[in-house]
Amino acid sequence: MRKVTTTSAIALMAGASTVALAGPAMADNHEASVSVLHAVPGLTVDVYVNGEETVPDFEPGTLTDPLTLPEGSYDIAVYADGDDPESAEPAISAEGVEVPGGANVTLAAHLAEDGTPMLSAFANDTSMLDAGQARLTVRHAAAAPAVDVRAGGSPVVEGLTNPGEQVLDLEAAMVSADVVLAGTEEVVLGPADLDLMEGTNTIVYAWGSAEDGTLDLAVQTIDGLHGDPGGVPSGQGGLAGAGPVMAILLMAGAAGAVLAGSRLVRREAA
Amino acid sequence: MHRTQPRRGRIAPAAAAALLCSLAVVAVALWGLLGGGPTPAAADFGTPGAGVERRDAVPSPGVADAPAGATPTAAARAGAERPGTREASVEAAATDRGPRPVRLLAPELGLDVPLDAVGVTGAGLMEIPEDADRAGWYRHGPRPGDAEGSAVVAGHVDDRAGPGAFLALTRAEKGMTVSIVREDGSQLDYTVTARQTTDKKELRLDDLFDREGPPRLQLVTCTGAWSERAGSYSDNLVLTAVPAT
Repeated sequence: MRKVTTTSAIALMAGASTVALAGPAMADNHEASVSVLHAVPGLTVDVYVNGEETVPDFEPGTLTDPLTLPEGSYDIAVYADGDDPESAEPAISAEGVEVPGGANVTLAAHLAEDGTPMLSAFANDTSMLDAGQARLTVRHAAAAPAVDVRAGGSPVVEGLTNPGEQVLDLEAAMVSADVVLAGTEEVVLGPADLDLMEGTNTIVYAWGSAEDGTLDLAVQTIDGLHGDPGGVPSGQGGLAGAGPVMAILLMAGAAGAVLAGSRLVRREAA
Repeated sequence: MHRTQPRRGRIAPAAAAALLCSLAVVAVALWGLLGGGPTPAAADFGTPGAGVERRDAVPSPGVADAPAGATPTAAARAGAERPGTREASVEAAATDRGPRPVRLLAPELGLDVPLDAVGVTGAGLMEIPEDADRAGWYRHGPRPGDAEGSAVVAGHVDDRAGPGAFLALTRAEKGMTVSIVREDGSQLDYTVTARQTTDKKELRLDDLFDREGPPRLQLVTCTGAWSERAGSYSDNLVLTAVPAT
């Protein structure tokens, strides 16, 4: 299975022209899975894809189910709920977003560090995990400075800035996570209990605005990435305690047979 | 016949007897070493696949199935498909996975085995409780009671001291009832449908640990010949049971 090298968040500022989405294309797969996350506080929107209203009445802090889109180039426009695209200006837009076949993408409408609404297309790592492992992806999508993410009190991600991300594979477990200003102990988010399920990519977004006191966490999960254990070693040999004894018997028996056999042969020859 | 007949008289009875005895010893030893012995051989019955309807290969998790029908243009597709939306909060992401299994019962086999929730070893194998009087339920996979997939419970056929609880699986018969008691006290009954002995190297792990398909319970232990060098038995015995109707 391919290993997606992430940290490929591509920020699409309003009005940006052409953006290629990083992420390897699968040779024989011409479709992509695209989820949309609304992480701009206080604004219900309608999302248009190539001029078609695709996600109406989209509330902040919500996520769409994955859309299957043919690979290609897409124009994304986000309008305030009810605005007419014929006359109104979009709140956020991006043209020519390249969606490669085989990719798993989350398109996030969120705030830039300075509080400007923006779109980011994140490539989600859907490579398979080993049995027992979980993946944690952390994304900074908030109007806030650099942060560290801690799990169980110790930093697992340091100096993450908007719109960056970091991906970790770790043992599946329930972890208590919080977000602090980078290099400090000042908690800005959490702690929150995250169930990092085995075989799942748990994607956590820090979103909202520090200044407005609207910081929050959003969580997206992609499951089905599990591997199987390599076997079931369910015996310790107690029943076969006779093993070495049998081996000795075998050798003794064989020696006896050879001896007796040779005597027979000698007699016959005589 | 006639050529060998006269020779018979010349064979020393003592030497012949010694030869026969020695050969018998060899036979016994071979039988003991090569698997007739250590664990009782259990005949296969049923097929693990019986009643288990496999769906088509699941596409890569990242890539959802394309909806049926023509897809004239990307624009039309994007416009036509309106995805559902859901809250993305931490609370909404928390999943309730139902009660864990805590005991396995098989009254006809005299089995009442406490279960541990187990994961994987450092070597990537399924973890098995050291104590052969206990068994492990693979906690990363489906739970008994889940709507789909194979819940896997494995126990040692023996430990250094002797037989383990799961040695009894070699006596299981088609149609027997095995039950799972869950942490909330509820009990789920299953009917045994198949037993398969498979060389460990050929065990279909993707099938055993399948997270999809009809709900089933698969009990696993070891059987076959003990390899002192490998510290393991050659085969796995897998008992498949489906929810009792």
